[in-house]
Amino acid sequence: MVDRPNADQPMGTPREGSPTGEVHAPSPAERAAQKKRNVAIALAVVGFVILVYMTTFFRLSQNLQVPPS
Amino acid sequence: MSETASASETPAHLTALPGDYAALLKPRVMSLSIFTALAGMVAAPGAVDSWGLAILSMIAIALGAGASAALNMWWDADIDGRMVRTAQRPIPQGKVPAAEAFAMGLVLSALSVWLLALSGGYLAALLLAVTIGFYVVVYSMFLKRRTPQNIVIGGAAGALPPVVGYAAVTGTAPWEAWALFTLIFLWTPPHFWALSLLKKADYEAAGVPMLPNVSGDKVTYDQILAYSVVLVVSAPFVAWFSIAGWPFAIASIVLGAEFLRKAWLLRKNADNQSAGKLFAFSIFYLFALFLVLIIEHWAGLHG
Repeated sequence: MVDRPNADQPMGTPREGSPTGEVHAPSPAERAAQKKRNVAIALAVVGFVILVYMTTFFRLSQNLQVPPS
Repeated sequence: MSETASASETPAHLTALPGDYAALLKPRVMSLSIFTALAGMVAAPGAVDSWGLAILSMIAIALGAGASAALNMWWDADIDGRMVRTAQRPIPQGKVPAAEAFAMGLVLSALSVWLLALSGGYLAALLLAVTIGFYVVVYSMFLKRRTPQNIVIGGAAGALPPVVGYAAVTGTAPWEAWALFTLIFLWTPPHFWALSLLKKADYEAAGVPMLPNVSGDKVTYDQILAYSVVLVVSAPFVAWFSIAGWPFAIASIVLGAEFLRKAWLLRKNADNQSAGKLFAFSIFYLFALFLVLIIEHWAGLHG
């Protein structure tokens, strides 16, 4: 089993923690993984916008079908 | 200022892929929630007014189920790492920081409830919020590590999706919707106790007080049989309400007889093989009953 990052600190502690003066240069594998995560986040946001748009569309359609009283 | 870029020192979360975050949502549990929610929608009286909104509601329910799974993994990260069954999850593996799982769970909870409020109405959204809250706060935080009745009471969270589905298409949650809730609620103890018999060492290592660890195997066999009897006797009565018809009643009697036989064999044989068979059959039992419910409505056999 691999301990989670900052396992010795309470949950919710930001992984950046306190400044140490060190700079991490991402490796090519890290950059590739970061890019994939960014693309996934972008797709998720766009997907959610589409869901809300479709909900509005279907709601409006439903209301138009109700005959005026 | 020094630079660190050694591959051997790279923390796992820096190379985490989207799939690691998707695993936080427990996709298999999500699919069961979608399926039971669909059954609740289909079983509701009258034709579904807008299938577009119904599908969007199912997506919202699935997101809500995923959100509660992420929050559960955040809370249980410490014990997940001690159990063989859950040690490969993203947080114990160090692939996803616990704080990110927490944030993802909270954001998804809010978005799923909001989306369901838009697509399925406020009652369905309220029921989804209660489902998430019950699973995370009542089950994960309070019951799971305190009492062997954890999955009995906590089972309410897993039983709510058909009621949420029913409410999403009708705007109401009458008694007949709660009949489906009762079915899953009574099914949960024999299902999870059969699993806990197989994973007793895991739960022992994690310090989770499941029934076999606290009261022993014999009491567990008896309790499984007792709950199975109550489940199998109750299931045909769902057809007494307008949500189910004779195909469901027949299926519940036939499948129930096999459920009871397997529960009885477990008590008689007292071995892991029988527990495994009951566990596997319990999944098939619930899936088949809800499938019959959906088919009888779509095929016009209802009533």
